Amino acid sequence: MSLLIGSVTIGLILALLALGIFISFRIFDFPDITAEGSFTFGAATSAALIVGGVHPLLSSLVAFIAGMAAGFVTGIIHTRFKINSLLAGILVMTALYSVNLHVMGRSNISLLNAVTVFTWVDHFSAAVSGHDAQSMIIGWRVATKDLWLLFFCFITILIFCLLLGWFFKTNIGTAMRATGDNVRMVRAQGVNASGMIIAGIALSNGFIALAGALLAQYQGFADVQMGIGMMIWGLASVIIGEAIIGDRGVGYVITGAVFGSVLFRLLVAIALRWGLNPNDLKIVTAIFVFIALVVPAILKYRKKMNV
Amino acid sequence: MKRIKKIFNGILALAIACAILLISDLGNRTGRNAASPALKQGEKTLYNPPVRIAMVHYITSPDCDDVMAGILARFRETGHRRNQDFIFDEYNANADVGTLNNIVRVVADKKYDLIFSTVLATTQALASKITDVPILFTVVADPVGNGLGTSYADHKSNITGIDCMAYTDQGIELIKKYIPGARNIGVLFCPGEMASVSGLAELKKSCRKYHLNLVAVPVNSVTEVTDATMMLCTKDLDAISQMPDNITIPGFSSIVKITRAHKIPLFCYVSSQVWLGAVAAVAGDFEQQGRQIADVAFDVINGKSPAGIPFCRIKQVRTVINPRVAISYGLVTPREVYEKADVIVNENRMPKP
Repeated sequence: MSLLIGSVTIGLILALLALGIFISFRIFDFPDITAEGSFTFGAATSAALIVGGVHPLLSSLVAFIAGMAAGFVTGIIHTRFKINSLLAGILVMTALYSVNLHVMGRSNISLLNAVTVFTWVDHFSAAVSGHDAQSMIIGWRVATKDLWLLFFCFITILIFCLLLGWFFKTNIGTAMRATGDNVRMVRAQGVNASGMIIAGIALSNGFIALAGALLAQYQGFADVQMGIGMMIWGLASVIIGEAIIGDRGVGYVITGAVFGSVLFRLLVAIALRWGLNPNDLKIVTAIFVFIALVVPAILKYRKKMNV
Repeated sequence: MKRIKKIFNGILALAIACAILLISDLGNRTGRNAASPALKQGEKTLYNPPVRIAMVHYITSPDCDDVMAGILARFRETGHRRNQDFIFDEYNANADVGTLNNIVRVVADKKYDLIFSTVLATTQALASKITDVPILFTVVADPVGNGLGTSYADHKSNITGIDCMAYTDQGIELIKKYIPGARNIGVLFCPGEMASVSGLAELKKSCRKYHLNLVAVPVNSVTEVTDATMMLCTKDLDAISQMPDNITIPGFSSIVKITRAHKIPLFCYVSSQVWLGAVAAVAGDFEQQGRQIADVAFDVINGKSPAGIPFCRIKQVRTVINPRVAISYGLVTPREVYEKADVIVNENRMPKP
């Protein structure tokens, strides 16, 4: 049970990554490789500020802004310099490796002895439920602080999802979605399409950087190589979510991204729990993702055939 | 209605995944069939056989593989039988930090008696979540500087391990014996790896001590090793003193090829690299580290708390030389080095495991 709670918690933290990739990939159809750099950038910024004595919430906010800056640069390179979106992302991701080393001053910052947002949750749990308190959940004994951690992450993601859903229903948000659907049409309507793309990619990378910042605080360190492969898993989460929940509206896709992120982490946990050969972990994870993507399509097809 | 059905699909998928996880965890429900808990007797903790051990890696690399081989070899030599006296489960995050966090949860959930970890990121991730199970680390350079303790003796109570920092003073002394007039030493390092950066700092200190200039060229991935080595070889160098890290270990054959072509003698700190074509090494091998940490594990299994075991450096350091390779670089192996060497490599082949 504690493994289940932990995996869902990690899935919720990384749901911010999925939300960021949803904005760039689904709203703007922009395959943004910057994600791998901005994820680490957020972690690096947050960690460097925390060990420097800055308030962890403020450091997370600065990480979000740092991610937005990275996305802003990608957007500028793509729209103003007319560089292909993939290449623009690669350029910024490559540059961010060096930036991250400068931000941290080294390749790894330990947060084991630092006060993070999760330290507060632990203190809150100790104050409300008692130190080392345990709870019974359908027969399983779990640490109460893990439940509080899960609750905190759930509320955080819920707030961000509601904000994002509300934002994309505003005029600016609608203009962004329209830009992603049909750039020519929105230009004809007098909308600054380039500005929308830049703002959208900036927002996307802000979320991704925030995911990096929270994950660094959760796991107790920030490392310059922690962003490698993150974009792929974020994309997989978005696509899994769409396959299961559907893509009929922004609300569906946002919900799907969160579900997909949590489901993906649960699938990895299942693979690990079954004691697989460690060398087979990635291929088994890929097979799980494949099944999660294919099953809804098969069920839909069979339903159509029966009708 | 359709909307609710879609959300229901998502909840159903999550519920199925949760159910599968919970079914695999039924043994831990209300403590039934749980692994026999360790018993505390005063300050000592007594473990019931089989002792359940987890080995957690962050990446797949030769140094981590060697550590594990050393651990298992030491357990075998001391008469411990796998799956009878001890259970040994291996985990590998395959360089994915999300998977690493999942592994930490799995390891915490399975309540092992002892955990081995390799590489700094793994140790930090485990230390942040597991405070009641001994964690023994290797392939970590400068554990104090990386937050695992305030000193070798004063560290987190459930963590201890081996500082894998190379013996750079001895390495430079060895180079000076081969090339007494050496002035400029080169090295490749990876700015993205703490072990490499810490090793570089140590090498800089050693070079200053022996009044040598150090030329360091950064390399960020295994695919860049060839280019970085070529860049290094364009500098005016008397020798290269190559620190081990997760970039240069896999790319070492390329380094040998290029340095040989440029006739710049290559020295190292891992014995298997002498077999691959380096002149000589002051080697604190990873396989030896594995054996050393296994001995620490025996102390812990026999009741000693990790809190009372200071971090330590590699104890067994060997001088490994390859006279034939030295000749190919235009060097003569000094008699003093030849007589005191622990291992003399006569042929250019890998040692038997």
